Amino acid sequence: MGFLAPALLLGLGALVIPPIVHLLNRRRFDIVEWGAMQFLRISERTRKKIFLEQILLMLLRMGLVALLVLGVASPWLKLPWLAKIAPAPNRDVVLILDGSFSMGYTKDGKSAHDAAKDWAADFLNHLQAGDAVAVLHARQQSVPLTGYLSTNLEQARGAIAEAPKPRGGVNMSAAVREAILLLKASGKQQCDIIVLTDGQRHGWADPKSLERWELLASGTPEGDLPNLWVVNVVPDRSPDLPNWSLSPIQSSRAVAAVGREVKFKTELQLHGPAGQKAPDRVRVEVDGRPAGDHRPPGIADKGRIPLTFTQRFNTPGSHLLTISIDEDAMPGDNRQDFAVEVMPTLPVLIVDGDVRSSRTRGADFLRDALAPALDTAPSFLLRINSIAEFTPDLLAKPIGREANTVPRVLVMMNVPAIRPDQGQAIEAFLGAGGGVLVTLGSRAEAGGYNEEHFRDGRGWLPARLVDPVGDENELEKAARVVYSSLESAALELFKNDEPGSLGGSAYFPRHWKLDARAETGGVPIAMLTDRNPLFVEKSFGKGRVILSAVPLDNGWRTNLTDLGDYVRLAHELVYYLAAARGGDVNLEAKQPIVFRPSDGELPGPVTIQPPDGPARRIAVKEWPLTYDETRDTGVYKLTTDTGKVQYYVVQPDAGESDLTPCNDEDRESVARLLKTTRYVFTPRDVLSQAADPETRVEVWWLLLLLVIALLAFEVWMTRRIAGAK
Amino acid sequence: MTRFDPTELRKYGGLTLIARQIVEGFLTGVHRSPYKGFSVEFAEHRQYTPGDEIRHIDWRAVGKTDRYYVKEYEEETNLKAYLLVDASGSMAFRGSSKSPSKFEYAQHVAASLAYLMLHQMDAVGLITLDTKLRSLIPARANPKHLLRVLTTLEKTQPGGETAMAPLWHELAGHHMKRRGMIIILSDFFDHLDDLIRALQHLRHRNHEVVLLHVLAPEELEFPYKRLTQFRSLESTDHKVLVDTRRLREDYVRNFETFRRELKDRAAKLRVDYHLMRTDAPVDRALGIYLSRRQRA
Repeated sequence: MGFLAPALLLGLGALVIPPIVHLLNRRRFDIVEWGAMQFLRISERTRKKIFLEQILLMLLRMGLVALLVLGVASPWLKLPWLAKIAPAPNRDVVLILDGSFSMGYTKDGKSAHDAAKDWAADFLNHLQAGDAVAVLHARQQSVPLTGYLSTNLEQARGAIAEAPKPRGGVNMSAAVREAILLLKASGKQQCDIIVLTDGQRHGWADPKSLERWELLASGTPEGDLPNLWVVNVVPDRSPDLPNWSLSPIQSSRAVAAVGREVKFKTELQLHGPAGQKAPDRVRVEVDGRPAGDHRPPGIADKGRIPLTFTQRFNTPGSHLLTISIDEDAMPGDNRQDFAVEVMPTLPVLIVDGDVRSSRTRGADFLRDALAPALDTAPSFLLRINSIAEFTPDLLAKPIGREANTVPRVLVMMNVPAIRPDQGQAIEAFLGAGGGVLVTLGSRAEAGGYNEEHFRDGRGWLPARLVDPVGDENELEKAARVVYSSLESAALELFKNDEPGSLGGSAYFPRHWKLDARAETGGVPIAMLTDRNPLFVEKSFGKGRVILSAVPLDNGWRTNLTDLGDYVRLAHELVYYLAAARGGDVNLEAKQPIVFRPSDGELPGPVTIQPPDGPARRIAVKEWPLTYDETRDTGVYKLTTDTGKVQYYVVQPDAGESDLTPCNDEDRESVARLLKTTRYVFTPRDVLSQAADPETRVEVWWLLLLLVIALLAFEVWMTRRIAGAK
Repeated sequence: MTRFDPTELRKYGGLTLIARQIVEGFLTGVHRSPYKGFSVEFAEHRQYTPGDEIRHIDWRAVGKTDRYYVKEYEEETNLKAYLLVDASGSMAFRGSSKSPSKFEYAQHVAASLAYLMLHQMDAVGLITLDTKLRSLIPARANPKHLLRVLTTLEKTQPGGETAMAPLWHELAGHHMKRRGMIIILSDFFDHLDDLIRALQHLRHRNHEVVLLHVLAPEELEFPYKRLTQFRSLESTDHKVLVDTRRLREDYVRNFETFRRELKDRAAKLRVDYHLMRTDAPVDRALGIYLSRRQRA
């Protein structure tokens, strides 16, 4: 036996009330001077009878108080015979509808999501009055359809019927955690969480999901875990369903220059049995307008068809690139979006460690590569300053006349040392999403770099400077680029060893030896043949830093600046670094939108059109605008009152395209973590479990019956005594 | 008929005044009173009825009228009446503050009767008693006797326990040998058997006995609702805490049984019994007396 609300047993203190009232009543009496004393005598038997009646009445009232308190404390028993006769206890139920796009898989005109809604509606029909229900829509961030437990089942029915279409991925453990929190406030003994899903392995028992379950299990005491019923609403779905999907779009350039080609990559992927006919065409749209079709080549390895295409954007501003294939049984993965920021020119600030102003200083090579003097409309807007001239405010001031020419990329070219105030400015620049390229040459002083900016991996510098290695006079021993190491999105263009290329011909007789251990956060993205890194990258704040072991000019007798790839390398590195801020427009689910116009537009009303639902108008008093309701995957279109449009794309979970169902082992692995997990099919499977003899039976109703009986007895007895009077 | 409310009369003070007002009011209300001139010196003849003593037949009247007349003597028509007033503690009970106590009520009744009796030229005596004889005023027909009776009544305060039966025996045996009327004003809270035996004794002496059972309404109806401690008026140590609502039925039944038994057993002794509620007018007692007087 136990109590659901044992604290209320303190109310048993009220048992003293009837005796106290009884005693107090005995102390309060009238006094009458009386003559006919002889008639006041009652027999000893009557006196005893009255005494017994008073005692019985007092005990009866104490019993009433005791039963009432015990009933309020909600006692329960584990008695099999009682479980058979007891009325079904009221329960609190949280229904979780899987809202991932795999639930949109449609067969015979009905999706798994529709089946889940039907199941939930059927389950509600089986509930009894007093049962309370809450409904959650599980996505990457769960959405409450009814935000609280309510006995209004009609409200739950309405919420289920109005549930939005499945979209994006799912974080089921987060939804279950939310359900547990909802049920924590429940005073009922019977609490159930019912997950209505399509039995897909991804999102339930894939490694990442299992990690999440483990996290949930470790943070939840076993006693706090309600029954977790898992229902596969499409048990008949074949495990080998063919499904073509488009992978998320990738591009090295989330920031592009007007009129320049930008390369995009994606994949057509076949899930399910091989031998399926691929879609005939892949449509491309820019800002919702058709921009051509691509015919996929034949099926490549493992059902994947890589697609690469280029696109030019002729106007500056935010653009939305969309690719799509014809809708199939699962429409959620037949479209991918990518937001691109197109700029008239990309502002770059170059700080040169060479104080000479001659034509041969290091920065001039980079200037010639990025903005040649003969190019009337260069893609980059450069400003070159010496290290002495480099002040922190240069990173916040426009380089050109327009307000939107604040530097996106900072290049520190072979500077001897970076002062602390300069280092702090660079940190802030990176924190805001800027890109920094640091090149090392003969002037660089390791001590200052390491102590001030590497700080044993805690600083923004990706690697520790050791020493310059190699002899610039021994060209035959010069290190070369290991082209196979060029895996990074910034450098994969150079992943070849053709003559004249970076991988095929560049040599570096002398370079800095960089210590880039994994724990420091630096990742080598290009290796030299002497096993030292050429480039080391590190993410810092919202920005990126690339540290180059060579000065990226003609110093130390390298042939890099003589190669045709030098210009491309300079472009790719700068675009790559500038695109660090591109992550701000291609978002993960739940990552907030942060909007700050780069052209100095004054704060004012902003309209946001989410993927589903009506547009929202937000009054902005101060930039930046932060909008964190990015639960749904898809395109968010932001429009200012001046007509400026900014696209944001919340990327979907590509794993949802894989409809592989859970096998027994998958199911068991989750059940092992969450002990109360049971896999069922019908509402009756859930409801019949309550009849388990081992189930706790709430007996407050029994006490209530006793209270009513005692109350009736007390009234009868009081009336009888009063009648006797 | 004008009735007198004893509670109103109290404020005028003095039993003499009260008694006078009661009686005169009563007599004024009784028009064409059959008792007027009843006890004057004129002796009259009345027709003989079986049972009259033959020696009282007026033979001369028989000779003249050829009818049998009995000659009534003046001295035989004077009635000797005794008022026995119970002055025990229980008579001090006063139901509500507006009501007279039973003893006060009995005083008024006794005073009124005395006034009326003397007005009728009957001899009246007064005896007050509780466990012992408090006062004994022999019966006299002298109008001046009234003052003595009323003064004694006024001075008497109720107290002591009720034990009247032995005293009645004593009275019957020593003080009231001559036949007369005895009007007893009491609550009779005594042992019933003893009372009846004493009444038998009085009846044995050929006294006409009238019991005026003086009771407060509260004693009859027991209207109490709350837990109450009853403190004896006769013994300070005697207290009883009573759940009045529980007790009421028993009390009323017991009390009524006692009263009815007293009445029935008195009736068997040809003793009149009259309930005198303290909330009822006092002059009712006068009617009772005159009725009884007529029969006597």
